[in-house]
Amino acid sequence: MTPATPIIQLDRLHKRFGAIPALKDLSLSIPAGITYGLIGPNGSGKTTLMRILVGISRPSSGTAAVLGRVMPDRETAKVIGYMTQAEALYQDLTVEENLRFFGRVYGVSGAGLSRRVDEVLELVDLAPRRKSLVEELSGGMRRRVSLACALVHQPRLLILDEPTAGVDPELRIQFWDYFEKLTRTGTSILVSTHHLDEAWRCLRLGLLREGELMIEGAPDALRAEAKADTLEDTFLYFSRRRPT
Amino acid sequence: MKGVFALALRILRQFLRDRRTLALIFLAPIVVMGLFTWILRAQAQPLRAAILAATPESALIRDLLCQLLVQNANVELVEDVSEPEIMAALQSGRIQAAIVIRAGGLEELKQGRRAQLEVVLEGSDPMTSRDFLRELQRIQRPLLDAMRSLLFLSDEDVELILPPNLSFQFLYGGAEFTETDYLAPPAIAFMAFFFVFLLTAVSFLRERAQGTMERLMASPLSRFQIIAGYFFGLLLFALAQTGVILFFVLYILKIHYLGHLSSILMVELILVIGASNMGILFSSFAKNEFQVAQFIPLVIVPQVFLSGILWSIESMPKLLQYLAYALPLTYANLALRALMIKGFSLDQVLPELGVLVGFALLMIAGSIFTMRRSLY
Repeated sequence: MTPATPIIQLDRLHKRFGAIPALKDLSLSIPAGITYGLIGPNGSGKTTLMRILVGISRPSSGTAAVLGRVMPDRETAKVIGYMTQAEALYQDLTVEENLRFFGRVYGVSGAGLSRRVDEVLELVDLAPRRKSLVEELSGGMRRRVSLACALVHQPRLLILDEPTAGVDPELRIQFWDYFEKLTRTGTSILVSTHHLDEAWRCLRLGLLREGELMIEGAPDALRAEAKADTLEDTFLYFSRRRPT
Repeated sequence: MKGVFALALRILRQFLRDRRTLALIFLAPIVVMGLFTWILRAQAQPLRAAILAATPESALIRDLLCQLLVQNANVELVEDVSEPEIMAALQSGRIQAAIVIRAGGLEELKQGRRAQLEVVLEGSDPMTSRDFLRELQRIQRPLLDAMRSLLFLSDEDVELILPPNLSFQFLYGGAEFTETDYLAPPAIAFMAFFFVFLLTAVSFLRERAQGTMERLMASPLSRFQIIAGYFFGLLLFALAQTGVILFFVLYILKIHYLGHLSSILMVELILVIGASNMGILFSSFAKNEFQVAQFIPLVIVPQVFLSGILWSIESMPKLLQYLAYALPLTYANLALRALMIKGFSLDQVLPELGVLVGFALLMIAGSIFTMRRSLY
């Protein structure tokens, strides 16, 4: 692998559920080390794409590669962190037990695991609650634990499925601060969101609509192309413009 | 392997924290087994019966009958019921049966006439009726003997009509074996099967519902490793449960048993592999915990009735026998009964073990397949 290897490479990716197409002919290359935002209405295929990238779902045709390896690939799975839309935590275990479990599942153990648990708890500001059962935590705290669980094994690529859906504005800002901290340490992030104010903080954006990639690029470049003042207008412009 | 271990450990930790489930796993079997044994071993309540002589001459037979019934059968005599009151006494429950002797004076008998006994039964509970008839049958022979001796009272005849001396030999078990001894082996198998199936199905369902299954599938763990982790976690519980049940039935209820503990655990182990994978397989057909509970009448109840726990398979209609031999628990019951009652060794129950292994493999294949399908 060379430094130029893109973190994510989609090549004519198709996914159908029975007769219903979920992803249509997606080709995309995302460079390593950036935060890439996926925007699009519900049902546009964001989650489907992410599930293919983490190796849970298989493409109908075409390929999705992470770090140059076609997914699903068990070795590559070790360097991907996945935060699902649902909290996906064991409610009857403590914060620390959840973190340790997911760490071990990804092959982290011993002193390294203890160190990583401390680090991620520090990152999401939950060190004082490490002994609390997840069911005793507030919704916002659970979100942070969920993020932390995706980070224990120090993934090189973080895939976040609407991490800020239903999250209060303060915590949303906090989340994006975490993401920035992570990209500074070399982690690549693929994040989907409905909040366009968050999209500004991504280095590049992709707009999915009905399984198609409508447009892709840096936020400012997209806005300039649409001759719009806001991202809302930018995306309305691209959503309405059907590709020929 | 570390991942499998982490999963097993997590499942253990979750169960240990869930006190109600723990109580279910360990206390419920003990309560059930204890109650069963208590009822089976308790001396049955005597049947209340009135015995009346309709004619003065038959009083002798009446006295004889009363004496024999009290001595040899579990019958309690109710004295102050007259013939017209019989129906009312049956209705009120004061008596459960009555015998009216219509004819049976010594003179009549000597003339070769038969004694006439009329038995009146309450009859709403066939078990009680059958019990009374059995008691009557049991004293028929001594009654006959006694009547003969009254009719021809010679020493030789008395010698002749003494009841024969019976001696018993048992191939398996023995005279001291009771229903409990027969029920204990399948009860052990059933408890393990039931709880492991239910717990796996529910925990797997929860894993899918709360989204952690997504996370596990995205991890480097393979489907097989996830299933293995579940199996090991639940296996410890199943073995601990079997240990507790065995201790309870062997040392507290003191049932009779032969064979080695290790052979019993071996059968349990194979059964539990099948049950846990069956739980995984079935959980993918359930949307919530309530739907898992709906599998109980579908999966568990037929096995209770058909696998030979309560009734022996040979006594069932042919069609049901085929069904019985299609149920995994049947083979566990056969194997455990052979080990515990007949004192067989493991190599004598290889056919049954083979079927159980086949069932386990089938369920593993099924659970892996549905895990693939459920996540497409």
